[in-house]
Amino acid sequence: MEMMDCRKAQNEIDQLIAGEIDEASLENLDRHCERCEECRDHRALVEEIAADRSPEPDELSLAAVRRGVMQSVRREAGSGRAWYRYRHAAAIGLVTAGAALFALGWLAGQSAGARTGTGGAGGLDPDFEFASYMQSVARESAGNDHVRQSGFRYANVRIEEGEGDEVRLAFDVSRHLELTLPKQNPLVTEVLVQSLLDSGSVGTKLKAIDHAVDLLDPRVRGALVKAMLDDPNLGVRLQAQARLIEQPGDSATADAMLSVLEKESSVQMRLIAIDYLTRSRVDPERLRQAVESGDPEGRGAVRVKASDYILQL
Amino acid sequence: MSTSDESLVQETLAGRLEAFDELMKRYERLVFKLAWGFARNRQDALDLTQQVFMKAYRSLRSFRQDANLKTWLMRIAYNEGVSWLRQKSRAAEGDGESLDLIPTAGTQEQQLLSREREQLIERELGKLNDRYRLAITLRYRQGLPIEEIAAVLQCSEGTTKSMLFRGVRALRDALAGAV
Repeated sequence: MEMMDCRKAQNEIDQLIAGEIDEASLENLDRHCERCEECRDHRALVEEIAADRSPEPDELSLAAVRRGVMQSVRREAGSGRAWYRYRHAAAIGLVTAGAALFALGWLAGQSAGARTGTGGAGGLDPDFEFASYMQSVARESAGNDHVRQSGFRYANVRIEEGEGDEVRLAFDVSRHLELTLPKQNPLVTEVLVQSLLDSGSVGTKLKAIDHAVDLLDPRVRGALVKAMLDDPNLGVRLQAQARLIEQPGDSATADAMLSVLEKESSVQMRLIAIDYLTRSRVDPERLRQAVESGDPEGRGAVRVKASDYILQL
Repeated sequence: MSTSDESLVQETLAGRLEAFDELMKRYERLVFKLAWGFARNRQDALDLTQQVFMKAYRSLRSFRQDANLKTWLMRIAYNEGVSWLRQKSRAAEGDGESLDLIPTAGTQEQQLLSREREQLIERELGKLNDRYRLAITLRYRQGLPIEEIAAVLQCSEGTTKSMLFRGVRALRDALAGAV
């Protein structure tokens, strides 16, 4: 009889995790688990496993995946079908493109070498004038009709008629650079902050968090707070929190830790937030409210951790 | 009325590549969930998702029209995931890297205990038989219905339930032995 009960209970534990159980069955399951250690342990372990669920992928990341696949698919489909039909034209195109790339490489090497010194470890030339550099590239490229690529990437382009023979351009421009800079350099801070805010890889974000030096810089703290609260990856959130608690408390970080208590599903992060908040002598009532409005999963452990401080004051 | 999977496959094969984009939109979340079950981090799961769709596109001519596209895709995801894990494991052995993805984050006792526990579960889960581990991950972490897991593992729903039960029990025994 007990064997049958356990089998049913474990089936219901499965449905509980899948969110497919009704209230009456849940009550029966609770009663069964109170008296059956085997099922209680089974349920606890399954709940522990389920606590680490996969994140929902965001639309932007999925769109990037689709774009990547479609680019390869179009390339493959094109090379499969069009190659034979356009083989003579393709051969001419390849020769032209090769010549254009050679010319471009020479131009970029001349300009970049002279003005930025990007190839070495010296870093950005403080007198580097971006606009004049761009003009020089444009001047040197004039008349080269076959150049389809340049050392820069342009996006968000707007083109308007200017006066006389002029044209007004507005665009975002980017270029890949490889630099070695002191950690305190403002550009390093800028890049680290931006990489925490964009949708880059987990590895890059973890490195950005590790290398953030000036934790008192409001932009760095802001980026760490955002990563701690919003990043979909638990590792990134944890690491950002670990860096934030290295510094003495300030009210903005305390507010962020209260948000961790309210919104974070990781029990580990909530316990760390309580450590920080009690050290920062946060208002016990605010702490209590944040604990109570948090995720019911693991709330017991969080309550116990906070209770001494709340009762003591 | 939305176009059937079969029609989209036919259109893709006939050269209308936008039809394949439509197929991806239908199944990308499902494939991501499966990929995440292997990769256990977002970026790798997205890379693996891309890999699965490329493989699917390249194998589309071998897709039997009487088969179920969703199941077919899930099988590809499963096979790609298994080979991805093998490659990853070989690479980790080669450079001595640990597959542990949770960073060190402070020194609090509670944090360390909790982290150790998470890592222990992860490690012991990783030692389980591939099919047990995948069944547990897909059911309890991805929330996939039993029927879909059964289709991926190519077994009956009853066997899938049994694998879940046995897998959790094996994991519990392993954890008890590891403490």
